[in-house]
Amino acid sequence: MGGTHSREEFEGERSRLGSGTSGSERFGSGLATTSPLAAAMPHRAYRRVEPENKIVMALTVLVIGVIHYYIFINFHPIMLAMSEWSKLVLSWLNIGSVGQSYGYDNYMWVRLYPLVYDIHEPDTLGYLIWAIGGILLVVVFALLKMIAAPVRLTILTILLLLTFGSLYMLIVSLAGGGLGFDGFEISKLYVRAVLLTWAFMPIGFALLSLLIPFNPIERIVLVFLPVIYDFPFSVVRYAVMVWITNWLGGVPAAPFFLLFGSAITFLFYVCLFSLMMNRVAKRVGGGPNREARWRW
Amino acid sequence: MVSFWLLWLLQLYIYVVAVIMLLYMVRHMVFTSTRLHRKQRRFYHEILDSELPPVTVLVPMHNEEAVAQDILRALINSDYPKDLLEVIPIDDHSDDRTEQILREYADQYSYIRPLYRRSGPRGKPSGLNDALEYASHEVVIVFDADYTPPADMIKQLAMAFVDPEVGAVMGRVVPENTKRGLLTRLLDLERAGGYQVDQQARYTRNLIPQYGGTVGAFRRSVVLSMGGFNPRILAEDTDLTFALFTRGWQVAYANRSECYEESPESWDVRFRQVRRWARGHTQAAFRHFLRTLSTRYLRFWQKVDGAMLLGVYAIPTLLATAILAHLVLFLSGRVAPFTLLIAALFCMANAYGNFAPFFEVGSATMLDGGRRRTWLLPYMAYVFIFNVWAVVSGLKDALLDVIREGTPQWEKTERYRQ
Repeated sequence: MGGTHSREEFEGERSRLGSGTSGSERFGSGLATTSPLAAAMPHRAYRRVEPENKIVMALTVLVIGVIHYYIFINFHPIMLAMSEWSKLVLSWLNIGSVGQSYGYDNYMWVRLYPLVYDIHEPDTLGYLIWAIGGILLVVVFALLKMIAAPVRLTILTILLLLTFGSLYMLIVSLAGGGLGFDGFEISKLYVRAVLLTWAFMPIGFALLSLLIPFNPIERIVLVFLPVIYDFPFSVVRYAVMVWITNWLGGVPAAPFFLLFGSAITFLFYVCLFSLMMNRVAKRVGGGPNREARWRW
Repeated sequence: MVSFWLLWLLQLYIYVVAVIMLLYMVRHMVFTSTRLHRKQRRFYHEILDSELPPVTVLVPMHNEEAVAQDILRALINSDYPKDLLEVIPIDDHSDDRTEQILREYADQYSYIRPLYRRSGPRGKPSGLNDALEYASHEVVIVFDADYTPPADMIKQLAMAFVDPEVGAVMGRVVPENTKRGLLTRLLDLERAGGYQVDQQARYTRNLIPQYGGTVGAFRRSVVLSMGGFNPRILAEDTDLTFALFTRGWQVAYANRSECYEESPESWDVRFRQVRRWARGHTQAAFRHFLRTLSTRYLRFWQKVDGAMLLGVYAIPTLLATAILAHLVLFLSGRVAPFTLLIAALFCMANAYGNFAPFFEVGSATMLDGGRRRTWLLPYMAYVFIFNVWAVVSGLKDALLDVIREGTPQWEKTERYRQ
């Protein structure tokens, strides 16, 4: 398990800095902000870091913008590669009988290559079985108190989404309707979502990174490494979704799309962010010159 | 035709929820930037040597034999002059050894004057109301029974009342049992983000720092003039915060005044705690939302912050219903890829953290001087759905409270100390 943040650590700092830890308590009323003694290390309750140098900030934004533009104009071959590799993974999964081929979709100035395949659609009885099975599983997991609550509630949420989706499709089916998409449409939705994730999430994280005292290299790594990671991951995720919709139909694809779509990419960003924050905290808060890095 | 309009309304709903999420995310980014880069507004530590006011300390207790002695000892060890101090432990219908412990301490220390409640409704607001009648002094400090205040805490909190505009003051809560498990470590992160960044940024920007009900103090005459605490509202702290602000009083925040609490160590206890908070906070939102927007005592941005603070427990419910709407749109073939991006914004704003997002918590950790704690940030996703369930349950309770008359049953948080 990682770090701790305990009373001992708090009080350790308190004792290192003396009984009073604000400048005024150590040196007398009013001195903290008006005398050279203000150089005393600020208490954690009021310390802050200097904002990034504006020129460095502007250059970093420029470099990030240029790299992102370069990636964006090359999305076309990247999306083709993703579809090609997904077909390969599907053939490894031995579901070549799906008979995938490419469709074409122009979206946001990028040509995309969604796979075309057959989607399984249950009949009314099939949806009824899904719904009854879902309700039974919800009851079982609601009673299984020995599972840790966060895990149990996450499983319950997925099961409730499945049940709710099945009941909705049962009603639609009884009214003579069916799934609102086919294999090509859901593929198109998927590759468009991936494109948007890769186009916009780095921008969001670039903005966020400007708040934190990362150095320029850390910012660039934070912004672009997840995209590099997300490429092979998206291939596998795409293949799994095709497999699920081909084998089980649209109902289980919905929670899969909701829970394992961009959210997983985002989780990787947060993982990387936490590692970077560790570096920043070490640089800002550790070492012999740490007093110099904090400001009142 | 009906289904067309229904699906159109669901799409509109998702976009409305997304805009709300985006506003909350911007709010958190402003708070983080304020806390990291702006010169901080400091508390009243500069005047610690001023004349001290007489103070009453209230400690609500219901079956607190495990922790009662610890807090009483901490208060006895306080550096506050004992001739200016009155301690009132409120024994609220206890049926364990709490009463015996209080009698032993009251026999030894004249300034400890326990209040034994054996009639009337049980619960913190009712107990505080009775104790306010019993208290002797104007400045009243409240600690929960599981807290162990450092020796200088009373002095620091009492100092704020030198300012005649201050109606209440709040200190920082720091979990003491952090190392007990994953839950306590994650709660430690949440607390850090909430206090070190959120509360301090609100105080620096002169917005709405919240009185938190414990490690806090208020003016007795002001609370009594407002009719005391409402026993029907489980979040008496939020209720008091907004009652004060909408009557022209200020709430001060003392980030330097760190007090140690015992966090829940089991998921069931934490679930009930969040559910109770959500219920009480929603009750307070029903009561104060319109008044906050219309009061003449608050500036525009204070009203915006107040409204967002009151609405914070509605977010998980909005999120849950938006996911259901998304599911229907997906199965109907009407989901636009852009809504997926919005779903990602949902995550960014709320999923990775309870009410303090991951970047706010990371910043708080850095400011606190911690390093390895940041490795736990991704684990905050683990409790996201858990929190959604707890808050939605609390919201349901609050809505039932509106329908049902009567006082809700107060649920005490379990203690773990040996």
